Amino acid sequence: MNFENQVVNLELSLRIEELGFDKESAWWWNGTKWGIGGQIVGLEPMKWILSKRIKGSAIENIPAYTVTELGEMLPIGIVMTKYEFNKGGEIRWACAYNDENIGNRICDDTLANCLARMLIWLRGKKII
Amino acid sequence: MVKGEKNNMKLEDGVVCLKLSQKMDELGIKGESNFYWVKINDVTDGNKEKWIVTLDIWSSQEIPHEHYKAYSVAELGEMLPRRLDEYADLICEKRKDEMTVYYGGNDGCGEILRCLTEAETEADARAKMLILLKIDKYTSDSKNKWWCKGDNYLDIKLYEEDGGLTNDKKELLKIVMQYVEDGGGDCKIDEVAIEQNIQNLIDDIEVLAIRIESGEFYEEPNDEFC
Repeated sequence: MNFENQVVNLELSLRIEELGFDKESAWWWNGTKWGIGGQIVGLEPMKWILSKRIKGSAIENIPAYTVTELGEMLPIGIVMTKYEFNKGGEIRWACAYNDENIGNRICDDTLANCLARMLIWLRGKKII
Repeated sequence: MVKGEKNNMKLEDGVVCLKLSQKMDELGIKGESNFYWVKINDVTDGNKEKWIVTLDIWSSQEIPHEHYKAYSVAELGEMLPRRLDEYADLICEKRKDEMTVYYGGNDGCGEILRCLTEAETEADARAKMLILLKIDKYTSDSKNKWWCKGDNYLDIKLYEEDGGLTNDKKELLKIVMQYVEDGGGDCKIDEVAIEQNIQNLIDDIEVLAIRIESGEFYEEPNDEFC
């Protein structure tokens, strides 16, 4: 399993950060516009690396939460399951909050992204 | 302090504990992992032996120390089967004091619970389920013996495998295990409140066996549901 699939992807990590979550993380998305040797990359998009936190004034750090970390942020009553998408053999993850009908709840290809979406949804509903 | 840096989480918190990692290795459970438990001598602490979790940085060469794969929650999620049969899907649930992993569902007549493991961390709960499925292979033929198998059942099986039982206890154990397989399940063992730790469980097998033989807990779970 790719390590990147074990943490929340960059897009969702940025959303989580925007929403103001302030939680410990072992891993980070480290972004920079500076190239090797200190050359500025200019208007190029940010380059992002998943690793431990890289410190530096020109580096933006976004927590890349793992499943375990997300589990600590989510409330009691979260239920997760695996399912086969479209009967095509592709396995996806679904999760729900205080709801037995988990097949109709939040889904994603990886468990980390699935839980991240749940976190964002719960914040939107002001549940957390 | 920046966002996300507060109380930085240790790698150990996100992977299977050492004891279960060793048991998984011993049982030949194989999967991909990005992490290892590695035994080191800590030069900063009197050369004491310590186990630490590290990233899989030795992928192209031999790891120079005793080590075990330290599976993460996500990796264990890949390894666990999606379902045991058409009615029993994998469910992971965050509860008040622990994480629960079980295979269950509804067969149209009622709720089905094939097996359930619990632990303080999600990684350990998932690892215990993998171990349970390894030592007690689930097949469609053995389906009827899978009713609420859980941590007690797993503890006894592992204790038995490790050769920790005397012969007289083994006989008593047979009665208990038969009861579990006949449908009493782990929940009934819980009812006699002996699940706290393995030593209590083994010590109390005699009491439990007598109570089971007296018919105190006997019931037909299948009748109840279909």
